[in-house]
Amino acid sequence: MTVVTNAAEEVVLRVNELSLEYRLRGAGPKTLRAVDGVSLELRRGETLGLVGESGCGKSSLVRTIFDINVPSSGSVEVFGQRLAELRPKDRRQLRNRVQMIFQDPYSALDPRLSAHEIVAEPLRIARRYSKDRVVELLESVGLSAEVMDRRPAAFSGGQRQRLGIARALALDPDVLVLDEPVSALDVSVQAQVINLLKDLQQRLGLAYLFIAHDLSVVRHISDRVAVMHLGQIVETGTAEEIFANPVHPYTRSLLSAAPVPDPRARSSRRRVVLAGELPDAARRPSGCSFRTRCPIAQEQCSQQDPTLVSTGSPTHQHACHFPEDSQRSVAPAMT
Amino acid sequence: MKFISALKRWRPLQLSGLLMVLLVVGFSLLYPLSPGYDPYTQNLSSILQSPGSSGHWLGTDSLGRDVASRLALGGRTTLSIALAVILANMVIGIIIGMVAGYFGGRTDNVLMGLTDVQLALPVMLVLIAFSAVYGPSVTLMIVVLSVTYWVGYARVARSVALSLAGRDFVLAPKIQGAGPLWIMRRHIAPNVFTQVLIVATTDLGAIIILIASFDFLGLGIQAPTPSWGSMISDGQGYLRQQPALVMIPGVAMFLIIAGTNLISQRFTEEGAGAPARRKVAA
Repeated sequence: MTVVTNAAEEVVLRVNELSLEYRLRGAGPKTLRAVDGVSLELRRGETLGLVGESGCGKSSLVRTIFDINVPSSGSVEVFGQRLAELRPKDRRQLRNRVQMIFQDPYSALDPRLSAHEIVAEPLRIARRYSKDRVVELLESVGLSAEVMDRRPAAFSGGQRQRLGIARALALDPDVLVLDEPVSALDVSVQAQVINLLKDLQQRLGLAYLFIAHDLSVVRHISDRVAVMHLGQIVETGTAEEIFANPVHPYTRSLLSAAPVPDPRARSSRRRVVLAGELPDAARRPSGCSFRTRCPIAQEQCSQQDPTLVSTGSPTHQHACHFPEDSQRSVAPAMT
Repeated sequence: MKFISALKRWRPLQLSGLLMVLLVVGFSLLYPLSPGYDPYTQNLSSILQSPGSSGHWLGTDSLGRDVASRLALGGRTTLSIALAVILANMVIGIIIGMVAGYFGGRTDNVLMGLTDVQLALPVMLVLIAFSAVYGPSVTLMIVVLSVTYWVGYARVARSVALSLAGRDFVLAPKIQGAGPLWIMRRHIAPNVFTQVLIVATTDLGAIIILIASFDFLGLGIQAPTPSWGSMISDGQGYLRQQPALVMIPGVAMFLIIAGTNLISQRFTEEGAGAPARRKVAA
């Protein structure tokens, strides 16, 4: 689909060994490491799906990327420039090239503002407001200029999400971080919004960091996928590699938990039901953070924290001590 | 038209509150335009006249001055001072509260500590102390009242700001480069105002009582300018001969205080409905 050129290879967003610790009050552990040495790379025009269950640190990662939380270590680079090292004016300019779509289209829009004002706001902040631009933005997400004076309450969930997308596009970004952009929407509307996103990506050459827990959506839209567990990336690879040949037992169990629409395929698969909940991030297990729930955990797993290593393919990495065991005995891949 | 349709939601008691306020405010504003208006001329040959007497439909005071005229002028001064004081406190309170709630953390602790300090200061004593040093004056009363009554506004503004600070629609402009001033002005202040208005209408009554009591003690508006407090204070010496002198400004105060309280009840009901009406996604 994509023509490989130098421009397409350009890394637009890079996250280096990013960690975020929250300081805790009261008794017990003093800090909670919500993001633990996460590294990501996003190239122009590609979509990186970030998958993980609730509480695994996806949203904390996003908040750190946007400087809402200050990272305890690591850095964020936009177009190869470390944001923390730039002067405020340059930093803002680079920041504006990375924009965000929120999960909940109801709380993401100020209920007091009209659609026009919502989309116009980033333009006004940047002192680039023009009414034509607002109309153009609204039309680019499939809303007509006639709805401009309405408040968010007059829009459906899908329309609101379109407004949120129009707002994010206002400053001509190169990267969109989408925090579960469709999980609050009806299934029928999800497809429309996903198609709009794909369409915009092709038209504007956007790179997406697509955060989700719905694997079928991720599979549909992603070029590459990263799987997150308790603040760490445990497996990453192309969508093909992750879905056809998952290595990490966590990835394998996630995939086995995804609903399968075909009843025949459903009956033939084995499911792995993980024991227990995601561990408390403040009381992280020793060694591999997944070992308390892992069906193939061994002695080594409690002593040594596995790091990301390549499998056969250079793009496919996993953090598991026993990849062969995992592939042999933990759940088959989603077909 | 919009105003009239909004009035339809008012309950009868609340409407009567509005009527009471309009009556007193209307009288204070309009009576000085009438030909008989003369709050200062003394006429020692017709003192302590009862209401309804010739030429003075609310009677005369101990110096033969027209009570109706003095009531109207007193209302003007008392009400305008009360409004000015409320406005000043609103501005101070909203700024302190929004900053505390939006930034949180240490800023919040310091500012809220400040409000506790303010709360511990008895307004009356502060004013008496300053009056002892500088001599009583209206200006002094306005200044003291303006900086000692903002705690309610600050607390309300803080709680609204606090609840909005983490919302996505506040985060969105922040990510897009908006500074704290921008966010507070556009996204937090409008939500603060509706809530603060409730506090303001409730406070109006309390402020009027405070001003009247200062006037009563001679710490506020100075003679010969009439005020409701000083009218009551002057009249108490003639309670037996002419009780109307105390009752008339008392009734005016009762009407305005009861009225504003009833109106604030309406605002509370509407304010409680407004933020909750927003749809909450699962």
